[in-house]
Amino acid sequence: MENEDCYLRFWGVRGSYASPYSSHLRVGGNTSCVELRVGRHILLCDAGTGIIPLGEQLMRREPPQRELFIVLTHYHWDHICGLPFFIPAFSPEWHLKIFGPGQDAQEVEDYVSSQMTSPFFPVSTATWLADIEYLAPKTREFTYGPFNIRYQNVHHPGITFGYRIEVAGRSIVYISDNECLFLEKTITQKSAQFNAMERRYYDEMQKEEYEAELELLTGADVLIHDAQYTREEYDKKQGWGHSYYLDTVKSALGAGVKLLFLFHHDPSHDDEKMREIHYHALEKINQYSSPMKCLVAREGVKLHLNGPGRIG
Amino acid sequence: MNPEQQNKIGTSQPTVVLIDNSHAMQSMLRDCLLDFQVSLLHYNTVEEADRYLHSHQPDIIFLSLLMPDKNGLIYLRELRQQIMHRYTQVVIVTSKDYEQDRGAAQELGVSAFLVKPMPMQELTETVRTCIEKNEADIERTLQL
Repeated sequence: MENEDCYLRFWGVRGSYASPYSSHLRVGGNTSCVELRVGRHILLCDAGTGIIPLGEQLMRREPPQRELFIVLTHYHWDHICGLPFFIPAFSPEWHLKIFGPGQDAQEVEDYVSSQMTSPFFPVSTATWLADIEYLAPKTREFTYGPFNIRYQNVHHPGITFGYRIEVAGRSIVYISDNECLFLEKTITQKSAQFNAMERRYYDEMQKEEYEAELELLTGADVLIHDAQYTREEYDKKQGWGHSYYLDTVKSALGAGVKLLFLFHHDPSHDDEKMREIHYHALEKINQYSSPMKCLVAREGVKLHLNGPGRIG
Repeated sequence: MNPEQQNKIGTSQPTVVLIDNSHAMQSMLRDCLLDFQVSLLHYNTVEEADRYLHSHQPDIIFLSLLMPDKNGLIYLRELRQQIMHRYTQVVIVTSKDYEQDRGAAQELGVSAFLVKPMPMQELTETVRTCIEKNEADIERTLQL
């Protein structure tokens, strides 16, 4: 294992839509796609526009790669819109496994294919020459090569998964879209309307939901989590399914995470704004005297998973 | 009269099923049901609930969306594919307050979509409405 490639790499870090602006280049403008690689095994989290340059790299790679596994968190455009331009899908030598929320494999296929229909796209998935295998949830946990993958429903419109991936002795949690601490906030906002009995029940419910929310994150070596909004933005967009970045920090601290990557950045946030967000997050972590490290996920950043976890 | 309606007529006390991994929700619903002559069955996972629902038709199912073992909407779709549960009254109880979830639930014929934290009165009224609807359905069937 030590001599094998074993890393995590960000290919797309934006939420909502791609933002290819010169003011955003340091962080990157592609939408969600994270590569986990151990030797010849490649696991991709989401297939936003970040998967497009990855596909180009995979086609050039020597020795050639011929198989990969994609786990989709959900089917909102920014998480699947790179697939119609993912070159390996059009190449007959390739074998792709695609897993995502759905009742059965046919439904997963229907969701993936539906973005490639007329008049929205000129060719359908029938033009994909790769051997594509669609997979739907059957058990709460499954494996692909060295990856052990567990998923959980998260707080986002529609059916959305978060993933916990154990590989090379590390635990990596990928939750691209999640409005964390939502119940806690609504209970606080409505508490004046409750009678004593309701308040008692909702205090208890809030604790239960908090524990359930943290279950997937607990003790993770790496957490990649939605941190799309500033406080002001969240106040306007509460109920849109994304997190205020300090709520993400709070959850990560509560779960004892070692390294937090702020992820799914708002497309309106330029590099300067991202610096400000990062600095503020670090300040908050410092206030808690926590050893947790926190970084802004940036396109091209590679975290080596074997050895001491070097970032390149 | 279809088999599920026949089944209901023979039932002396309405049964309410709660599928939610929240014990606080169970206690709250139990308090809300004190005014009604009903029995409450609580399941922490979809798998446990499914074992019961495979062969029983309760009068109302309260279903959470963020279940640990299966998404509530996916399970509801599976339930609707079973002839016995095509018309079972299902009430969603969730902290997810999103249009996309409401729309999907409505397409699956839910009786109500309640967002936590809701007043207990709303829960009580929903139970009452569901029970009355079941009684009206049986009444209508008997008149046929």
